[in-house]
Amino acid sequence: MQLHKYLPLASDRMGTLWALASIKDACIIEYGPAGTTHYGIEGFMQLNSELRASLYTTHMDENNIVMGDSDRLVETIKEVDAVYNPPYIFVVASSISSIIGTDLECICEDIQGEVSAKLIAFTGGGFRGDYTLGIREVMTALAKKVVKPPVTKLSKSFNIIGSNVDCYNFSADLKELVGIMQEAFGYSLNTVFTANTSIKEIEEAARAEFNIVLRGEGVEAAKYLKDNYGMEYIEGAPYGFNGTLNWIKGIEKTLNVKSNQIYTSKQMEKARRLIMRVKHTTFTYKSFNAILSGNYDMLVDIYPFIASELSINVVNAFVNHGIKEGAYRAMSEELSLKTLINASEIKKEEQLSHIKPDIIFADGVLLEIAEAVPMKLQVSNPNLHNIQIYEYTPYMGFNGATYIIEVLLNQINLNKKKLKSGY
Amino acid sequence: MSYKYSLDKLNRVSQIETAKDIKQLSKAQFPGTHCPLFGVALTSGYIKDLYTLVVGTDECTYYTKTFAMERSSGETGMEDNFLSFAINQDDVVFGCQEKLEEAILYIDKKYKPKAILLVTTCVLEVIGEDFEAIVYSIQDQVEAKLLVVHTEHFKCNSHIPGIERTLEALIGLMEKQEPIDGTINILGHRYSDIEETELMRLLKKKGINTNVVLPSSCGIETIKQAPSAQLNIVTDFTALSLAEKMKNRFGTEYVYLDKYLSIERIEKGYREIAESLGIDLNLEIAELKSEALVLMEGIRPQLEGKSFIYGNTPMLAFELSSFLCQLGLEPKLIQARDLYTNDDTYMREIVDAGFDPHVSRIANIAPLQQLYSELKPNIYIGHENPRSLMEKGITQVVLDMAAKKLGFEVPITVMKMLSRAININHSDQRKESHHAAS
Repeated sequence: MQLHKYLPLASDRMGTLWALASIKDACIIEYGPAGTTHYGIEGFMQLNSELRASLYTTHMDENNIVMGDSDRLVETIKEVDAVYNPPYIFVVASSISSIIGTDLECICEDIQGEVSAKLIAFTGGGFRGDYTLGIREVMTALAKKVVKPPVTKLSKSFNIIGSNVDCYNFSADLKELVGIMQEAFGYSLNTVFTANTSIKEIEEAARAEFNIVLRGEGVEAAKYLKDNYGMEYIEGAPYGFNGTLNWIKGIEKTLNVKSNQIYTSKQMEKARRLIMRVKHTTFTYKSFNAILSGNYDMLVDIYPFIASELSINVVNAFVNHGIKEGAYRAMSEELSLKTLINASEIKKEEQLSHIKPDIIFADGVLLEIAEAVPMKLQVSNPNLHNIQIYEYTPYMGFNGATYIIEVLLNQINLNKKKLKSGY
Repeated sequence: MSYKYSLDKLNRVSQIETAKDIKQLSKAQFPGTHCPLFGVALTSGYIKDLYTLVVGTDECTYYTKTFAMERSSGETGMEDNFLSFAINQDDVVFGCQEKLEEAILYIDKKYKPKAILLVTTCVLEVIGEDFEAIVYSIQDQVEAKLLVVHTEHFKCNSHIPGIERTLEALIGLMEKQEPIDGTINILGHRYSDIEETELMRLLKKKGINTNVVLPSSCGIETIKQAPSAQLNIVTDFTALSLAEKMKNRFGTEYVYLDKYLSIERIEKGYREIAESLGIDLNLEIAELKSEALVLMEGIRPQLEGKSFIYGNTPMLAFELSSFLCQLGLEPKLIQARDLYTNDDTYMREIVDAGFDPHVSRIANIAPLQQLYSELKPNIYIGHENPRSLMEKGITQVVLDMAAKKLGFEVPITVMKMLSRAININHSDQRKESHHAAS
C-alpha cells in the first residue's frame, strides 16, 4: 500500500533540488506551481543545510496546463539570464510539467542561442524514481556539463563526490575527511559534489589529482572524470578505526603514495584502548542487538565497525531507498542477509517489535517509530527534529569512531537498568 | 536585451479593480507563494479526532507531513493526524480510486477516526480523480465521516483557499441543533489561548459561553454541536464562507470582526456583537477605545513623515496599511496575495488619505530587494531577510504576535510594536553615529 503514517520516500525531483541547492551561484528555475518550491525551500532546514543556490519558480496556471503554453518558462529563463547573468541555469521539471508532457530539454535547446547562460534541464518530475536518482543525475550532469578541462593541475589535491545535504552528518564528516587527508597524505580538498561548494569550484574540479566517491550515486560522475580527465577515484567512506585504516590503505594503493605512519599508528593505538573499553562495558550484558538504517553505502561502510569492532549484534539493516542494479558496490553476504531494501513502515514496525533491539543507529523516522528502544543514535535522514550546527562531531574517520563510542558509552550508562532487565 | 525590475510594471492602489490587477514584479518568483495544501496543514491539525489524508506526489505529502510533525510538537492543541497516500506513475495513468478506497478502509479500521479529510493536490486535479465519487462509493462502509478538500495551486495564488475550504468542509459534520441563548462560536481563529483575548474576556464577563472555536479548539463532536450557538463571530476572513453556509443551512447569524486595526471597525464589530447577544458593552468599548486613541495620538509624532513597505502579516494587507496611513505613515508599496472581502473599502481609505502606493504580488522578494534604494522606505512590515533590510537602513517590524489578539488590543499591540521597533532602531543609529564620531 502507498499509505504512509510517517514519510513517503523522497522523489527524484527532491533529490535533484537537494543536490543543486547547496551549490553557491547555481541558478535553478522550477517549472511548476509555486507551492512546491516554497515547501522545498523550507525543507532544506530539516536537512540542516542552507539554500546556497538561487532558486526561482515560474508558478503555473490553468492556461499552462490546459493549453500546454510554456511561454511563461521561456520568459522566466530569459529574465533570469538578463537580470542575474548566471553562467548556468538549471531548469527543473515539476510533477505537473512532466504529466502534461512539457519537453524541457527541447525548450532549453530552442532558446539556448538567445541566452548567455548554459541551460541544463532536469526532466525528472518526481515519478521516475527516488531521491537517489535525482542526486545521481545532478552529479553526473555537473561532471559532464559544468566541469571544465583543467588549465593546470593542482598537486596534492582531491575532490569528494557524494557528500550531499541528504547525508545526515555531511558537514562534520566533510571536516573529518579533509583532516584525515591532510594528516595522512598532506592532501588538500579541491571541491565537493555537491555540499558546501560553488559553481566555480565545480568548474575547476578537474584540477584535482583524484576523486573520493562516498556513495554509489557519484560513480557515474567519477567514471566520466576518469575517462575524460584521467582522474583516478576510490569508492567508499571511512567508518570505524579499521575501516578508516583500510580506506587510507586503499588511497595509498590507488595513488601509489605512502601515508603518514606516525599519524595512523597513533590513531590505531587510541583505537585499541577505546575498543577494549567498549567491550569491557558491554561484556556484562547478555545481548546487544541493533538495527541500522540509512543509505546503502553508509550501511555497507559502517556495518563492519558496529558489528566487528564494537561487537554489536546487528540484526537488521534497512536501506532507505531503492537500489539500481549495478550502481552500488557489492554488500558482504553477512550484511546482505540482514538487509531489507526500502522496507515499508509496517515492516519496520514488525521488525522492531520482533527484534526488540537495545540500540538503533537510524534515521529520524525510525527513531520516532522506535520510541521504546532505550538507546538511539541518529545517523541518517529523514531528519525530524535534530539541529546540527557543531561541525566537530563526525561519524566518519578516526574521530567519528571515537565520537560514536563516546555516545554509545553514555547511552549505556544512562540505560543500565533497561539493558539488564530488557524492556 | 536588458531586463530591469521596474515599479512601472505594477499598478497603484487606485488602479486595482480585480485580483488580476495585482501584478508580479518579475516572472521569476522567489520564494513563491505557499499552496492551498499548506493552508489545509495550517488548519486541520487543530481538529481533534480528525485524520487528514493527503493524496499527492511524494513531495507534496512528504513536506506536508514534516510540517505537521514539526508544528504538532511545538504548538498546543495541534495534532499530527496526517497520513499520506503517495501516488506513483501508474496512478497518474490509470487513476487510483480502488487503492484509495482500500486505504480509507484501512485507516477507518486501524485508527478509528471520527472523520477523515481527503485532500487532493495538483496532480490529482489534473488527472481528474473524482474524490466525491470515492466518498459516495465508500461512505457507507466506514464509520468515519468523509470530507473532501481540493487544493490545486494552479487555480489560485496562495494557501488561503486551503484554509477556507477546510473550514467550509466542516459544515459536513454539523447537525441541526436548537440554538442556546448566550452562546457563541468563534470562526477562523488559528491560534492557541483564545480565552486570553480581549474579545473573549469581555464576553465571558458578560456571561456569554463559547460553544466551539473553529479550528483552534474543536473536535468532531463539538463541531457537530456548532449550530447550537446563538451567534457566530468570524474573526478571520477565511471563515466567512463557512459563516454564510451556516447561516443558510442552520440560520446561525454572524458578525464579522476580523483582526482589524481600525478603531471604528472594531467598535462597530463590538456593537453588532452586543446587539446580537443582547448585552451591554458600552462602558468597556468606551474605555478600550479611549486607550487606543490616546496611544494613537501619542505615537503619531513618532511616525509622521515616515514611510513603509507592507510585506506580510497575518492581518489584512490593505486594512492594516490604511490604519498605518491614519498614523501618519506613507505607504510606498503594498504586497498583497489577492483581493478579499471589503478590500475595496480599505483601498479607498488609503487613496482618501492622500496616498496611492504601488501594489505587487506577495512572496516575491528577490526583485523587490533591488528596488529598496529607489523606494527608500523607513519601515518594512513583515518577514524579510533582516540583514538585507539592516544594510539598507530599513527598520523591520514583524507583527505576528498581534494576530493572536482580538479587539482593540490588536491596534494597541501593533502600535506598541511599531513604537518599540523605531525606538530600538533610533538608539542603534545613535550608537553607530557615536562610534563613527569617536
